Amino acid sequence: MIDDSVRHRRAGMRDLRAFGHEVVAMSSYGEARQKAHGESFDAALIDLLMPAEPTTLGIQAVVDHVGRDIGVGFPLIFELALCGISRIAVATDTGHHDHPDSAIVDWFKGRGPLVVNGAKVLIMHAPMRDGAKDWVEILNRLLAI
Amino acid sequence: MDSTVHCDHCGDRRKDAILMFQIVGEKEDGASVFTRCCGEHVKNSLHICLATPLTDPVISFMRKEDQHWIPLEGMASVLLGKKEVVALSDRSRFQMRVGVEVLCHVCEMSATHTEARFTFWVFVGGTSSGEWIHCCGRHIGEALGLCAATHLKNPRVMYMDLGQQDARYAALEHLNAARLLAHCFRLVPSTQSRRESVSTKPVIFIDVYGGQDNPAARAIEAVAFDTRIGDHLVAEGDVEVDIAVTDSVATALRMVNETEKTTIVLIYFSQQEKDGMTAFASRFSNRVEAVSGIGGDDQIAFVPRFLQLIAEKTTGGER
Repeated sequence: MIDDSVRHRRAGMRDLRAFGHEVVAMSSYGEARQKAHGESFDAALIDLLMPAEPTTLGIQAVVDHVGRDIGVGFPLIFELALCGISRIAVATDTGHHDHPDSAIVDWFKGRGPLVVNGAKVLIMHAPMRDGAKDWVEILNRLLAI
Repeated sequence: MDSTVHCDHCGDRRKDAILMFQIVGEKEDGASVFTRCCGEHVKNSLHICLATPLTDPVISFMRKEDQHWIPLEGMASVLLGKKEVVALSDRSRFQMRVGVEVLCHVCEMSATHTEARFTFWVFVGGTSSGEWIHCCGRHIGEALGLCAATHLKNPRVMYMDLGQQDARYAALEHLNAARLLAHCFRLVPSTQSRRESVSTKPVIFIDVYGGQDNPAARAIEAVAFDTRIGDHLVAEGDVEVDIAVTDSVATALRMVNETEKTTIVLIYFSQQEKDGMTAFASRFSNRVEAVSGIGGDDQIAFVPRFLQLIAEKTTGGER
């Protein structure tokens, strides 16, 4: 599970573990990438928008971009699929009026299952429960495709 | 005068004490001697002093052989006369050869270590007689406290990395001791009892490049009066620290992602870093503050803001 929001991570950890799943929660895409290269996972549950990290950026790019929300969930699909994760869900709680990448999520609404490098992929607006993403529901939908 | 002095902190009556300290100042009830210390708890004594509305507090010391109290400025005179100490007249041009002996005014008397093993030496301002207080880096808090309790002219904290060839003193403007003193007195609530102040101590997490070996990390710890230094950003049970300090945007971002309530202080040490850190902080304006570790009138200086945050977290009763 990769999500920069403490609230969503804590809810996911609590709820998914309650259903007997083993969960590793990460707060940044850099950390997630590293983890995915070193360990194997059955499924990945990803937030769409996360703050840009400094990585290789130069001084001006740091000023312009770091900390701004970017739609990193999309490239993460490719990266995690290449790492061999077979089921990947990208779920955002940002409305389609609020961010261009969230608006793009609408493109995939009602479409058939996506397959990337053999991995089944679900891109969706997140169902919510008690103010947090309902990760159990997201996982169930992912496993159902 | 009997050299046996009761230490208010450890309760020890130490006849064999090499050095005793006392803090004297006028309280509201007119008492003059506020606290005495055997020398092992000077920092604690200073905390108490700072948390109390004392007028013109002065720290004095007594050496075993002297058997009388000497104000700190006198102490500085005595010590400066004993060994060669490099004068610091122009900090921008000052250079010091690696290996030159610098006397630590705090630990010299305890003789626990004399070798220049540490990479952090600090000059804590000039006294009214134009002298300097030196510290090997292990006792920055005490040195700052001693400095703050004395009448100083243009105090500055500087450090030198003795591991470098042609080592040079660099200013840590953010540790301006005069500001430190002013803010401590103004911000620490005078009505708070010692017990209360202990129970609401904010927890600080410091993550700067190089870890605890970084002089800046030691300096930040030293000025984190009345706080507890935490080992983890988020402790067991999802308990977050109150204030996190870092000098890296990447680390600050991780801190933002991993906490909900922690106030994150992003400290920059160069103008080059300033723009990126300021822009980053503006994107998390309710969570992150970018402050200057290098001073300058147009910038928010680290220590005053840090102490203000500590005071806010202390009095806010959030813990």
